[in-house]
Amino acid sequence: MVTQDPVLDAKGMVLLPAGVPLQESHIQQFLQRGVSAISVESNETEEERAERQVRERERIVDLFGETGASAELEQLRRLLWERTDAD
Amino acid sequence: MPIESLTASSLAQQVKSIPTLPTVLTELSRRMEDPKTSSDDLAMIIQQDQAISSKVLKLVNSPFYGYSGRIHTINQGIVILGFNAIKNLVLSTSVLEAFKGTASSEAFRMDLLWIHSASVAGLAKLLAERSGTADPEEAFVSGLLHDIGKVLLWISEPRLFAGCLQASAAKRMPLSEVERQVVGFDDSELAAVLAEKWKFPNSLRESIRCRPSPENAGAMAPLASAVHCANTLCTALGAASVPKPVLTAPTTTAWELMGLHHDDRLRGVLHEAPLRIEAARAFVTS
Repeated sequence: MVTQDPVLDAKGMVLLPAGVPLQESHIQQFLQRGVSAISVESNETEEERAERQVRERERIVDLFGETGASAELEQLRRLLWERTDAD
Repeated sequence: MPIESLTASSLAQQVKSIPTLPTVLTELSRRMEDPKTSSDDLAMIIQQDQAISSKVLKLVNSPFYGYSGRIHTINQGIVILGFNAIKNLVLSTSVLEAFKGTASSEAFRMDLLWIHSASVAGLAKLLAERSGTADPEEAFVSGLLHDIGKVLLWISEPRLFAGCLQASAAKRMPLSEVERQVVGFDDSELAAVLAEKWKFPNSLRESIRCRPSPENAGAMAPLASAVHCANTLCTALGAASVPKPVLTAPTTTAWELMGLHHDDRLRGVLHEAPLRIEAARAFVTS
């Protein structure tokens, strides 16, 4: 996995520039500096990405089924679905 | 119909193969209550168990704690991370070691269970931090050990438990509900008996016992809620303990206590989850 954007800490200091292959020591450094998430470059083709999105949506539909009875599960389903759009 | 006369307590009693936890843990708990105990004293106790101390050192230097290769001794770990963090580490490590040899099968895969447990631990810690309602370290341990009742049920009644798993998947019914119908109690009750037998701290015992209904945990409700919600989130994110999970709705009280009813909070947790889960998995893979 390669960083897609520069990884910055809370003060905007660059911890890792874009395009660097990620190693375990980087993750340690991120957690220590309060970095909660990073963007990584994907080697996926557009087609592979679309297939993954379909699979994830099928998984969500299968797992959540009819969740009308619970507002919490409905909210969770909605935000997980939203994530598949952003991926 | 549940099996007559079988209770969580009697089942735990009749299981001869319940592992014992190392004496280092009992000694550690006892000495921690004494205000005169120094970090040197505690380090000496832990070092009596070579397997545990090397595992603890490996973990404190893992991505989860972020001190890569910089903590060389148990004493240093106690000074940097604190007494409680090290005690929790010894507790978690001891339980994982105790169940290490448990046989896996297609019906119940131990690898899935421990990866799920570590994932729940990572997210329970995150929820405790974000909500500020519970101690993050306690939330981690409680998450890591929340499913030990399933392991015990599997060890003691493998056919019965496999039947429960099968029925849960076939009927799309939560496993704990099937367990209550078939066995007469659910795995969280069994876990609570085990936690009692192993003399876990009260906070841990209560949060494990009340995981399905965290509102019943009294002062430990926030801790139990963190694990309860983390369990739902992990299952929803694809890190379930069984191959065909049934998603159980979290209780509204627990969800709101963790602030997850706010889209922004839930969105943030989902965003941060992969990194936290990845770091927590060091506990079961190292």
